[in-house]
Amino acid sequence: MTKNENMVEDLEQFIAPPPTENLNLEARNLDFYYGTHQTLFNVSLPVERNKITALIGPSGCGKSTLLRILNRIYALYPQQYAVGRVLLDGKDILTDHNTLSRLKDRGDQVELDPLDCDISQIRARIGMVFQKPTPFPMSIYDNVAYGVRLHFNKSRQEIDGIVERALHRAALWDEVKDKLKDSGLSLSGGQQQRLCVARGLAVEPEVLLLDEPASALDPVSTARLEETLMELKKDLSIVIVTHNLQQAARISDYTGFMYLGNMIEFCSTDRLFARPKTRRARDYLTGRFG
Amino acid sequence: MNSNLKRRLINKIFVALCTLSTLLAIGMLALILGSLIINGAGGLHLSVFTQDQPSPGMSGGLRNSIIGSIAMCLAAMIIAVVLGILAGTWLSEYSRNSKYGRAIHFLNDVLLSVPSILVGLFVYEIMVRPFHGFSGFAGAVSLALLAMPIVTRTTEDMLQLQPDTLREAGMGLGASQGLVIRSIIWKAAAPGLLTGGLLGFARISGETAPLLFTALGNQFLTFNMSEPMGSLPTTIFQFAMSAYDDWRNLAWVGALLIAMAVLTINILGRVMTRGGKR
Ligand SMILES: Nc1ncnc2c1ncn2[C@@H]1O[C@H](COP(=O)(O)OP(=O)(O)OP(=O)(O)O)[C@@H](O)[C@H]1O
Ligand SMILES: [Mg+2]
Repeated sequence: MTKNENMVEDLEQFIAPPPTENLNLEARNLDFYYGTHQTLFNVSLPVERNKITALIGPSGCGKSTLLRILNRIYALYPQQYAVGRVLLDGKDILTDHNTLSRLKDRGDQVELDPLDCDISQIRARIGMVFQKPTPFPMSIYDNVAYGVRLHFNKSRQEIDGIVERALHRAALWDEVKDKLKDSGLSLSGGQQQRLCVARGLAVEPEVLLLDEPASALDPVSTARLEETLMELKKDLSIVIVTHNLQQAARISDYTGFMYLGNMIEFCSTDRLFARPKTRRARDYLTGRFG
Repeated sequence: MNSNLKRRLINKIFVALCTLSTLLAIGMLALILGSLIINGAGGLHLSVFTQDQPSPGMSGGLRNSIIGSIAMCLAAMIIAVVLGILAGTWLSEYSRNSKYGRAIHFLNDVLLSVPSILVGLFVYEIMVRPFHGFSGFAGAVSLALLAMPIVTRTTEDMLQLQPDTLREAGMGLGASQGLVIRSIIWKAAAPGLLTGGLLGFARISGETAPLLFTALGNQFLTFNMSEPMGSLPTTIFQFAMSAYDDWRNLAWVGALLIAMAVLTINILGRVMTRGGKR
């Protein structure tokens, strides 16, 4: 967290990360480019195991971008690229030959071996739920079983069990248990979002990334989703982007405040909301922003 | 007040014009269908389907033409749908913003509006002349060339309508791009892909010119697509211009059959896509 030459001059920062030995996922010194347009500047994000880490900040500050790096979804678009490190249990998952040369161009010491596994497995270990629910055009059952069939060789009965368990964990089982053969598109928005959570959970990820999962949900659905997340963190680590400060305060253990592509303040949620250290975080939290 | 009045007047005129043109279009359709039914329904006997094309003055039916049309349209649609969906998928999913993609998209648009008689001549040059013979295959290929650009274009458009988040969700679970396309994107776009097929079929079902150069026509029943083959449009063409009343009546029946076929297939398509939605 000390490399600062890419930063804006007057950048006031405060970073109080959790102890390194508890980190499940960690982004280190990330720069990100949409083509030639740089949108992240030397951003680091530690994600502690079995904790909820929230990302807040004004629109366009790069929260979604950061999330999209963590499971390498950005790599679908050839003109987008990231420079830096993402460590899953201490092993680099970002560095391919491309990034390696860019890291060296930047003058970084590359001392870690890139994790020896393919992108499909990385994405199975790091699940993602998007802002808008994205049920696949198939039955509720097949939606949840999609990733399982992809990654594991399971029997019909085993898949039945996995689907039921995933739907239970996403707090959707009771609502859909009698209509598993119905199309996933027939559910309400909130149910669809929990279906997407269940779909991600079915492949037993270690980390779950959520990008404003509640922005299209009513208060009741939002409360259910929050309960679900609190329950889930017993088994996995969660990163959630939210515009709802109360939500971040309610459910998260750590919060990162981003501004214009920089990580301005990162510390425990209690501390950030009670005594923000930096002026920008203070202004944002008190609504005096502009 | 005054401008408000003016706005409402303009609005009224606009709505009236829209209604009028809709009525005009529906009226035309009703006129065409009406004359088809009045002139064709009377001759619609079982013999139309069981007997082959008659010599002048004899009794007969359209069996050889119906079979020929079905065979060539079916073969053409298989070719057009397979190639068109693959091409449209490539354009939408694999070559966005690439130079090749844009060039092929443009060429496909050109193909969309090529006069069908040119397609007939083209197939005549590559399939009929070199092998010294008209054939049902050549007919099917010329029809396929007419339907394929429509299927390609519709496929491309329908796949592009699918949100990127759906692709990202699929690949976010670890599926490869090809698998996401086959198992998610095609499924989500299925109603649109079917519409493309229907549009393609509607385009070729009444085509006459390209068949005259390729399948030629055949007054006898044949299932062999390497021989000249009869078809409803070419038979209608031949009969409608003849001096014999029997032939002209059969031409009306043939025209009615084509219209009914297009209508039925369209309705079936609608019902199927609606059934699949929820
Ligand atoms: N596909 C893209 N191409 C180019 N620039 C992009 C693209 N997506 C986002 N950006 C830019 O990257 C910056 C960060 O965007 P990002 O979506 O990460 O913001 P965000 O913090 O998630 O905002 P919001 O709260 O509105 O979702 C913005 O300045 C945006 O204009
Ligand atoms: Mg966002």
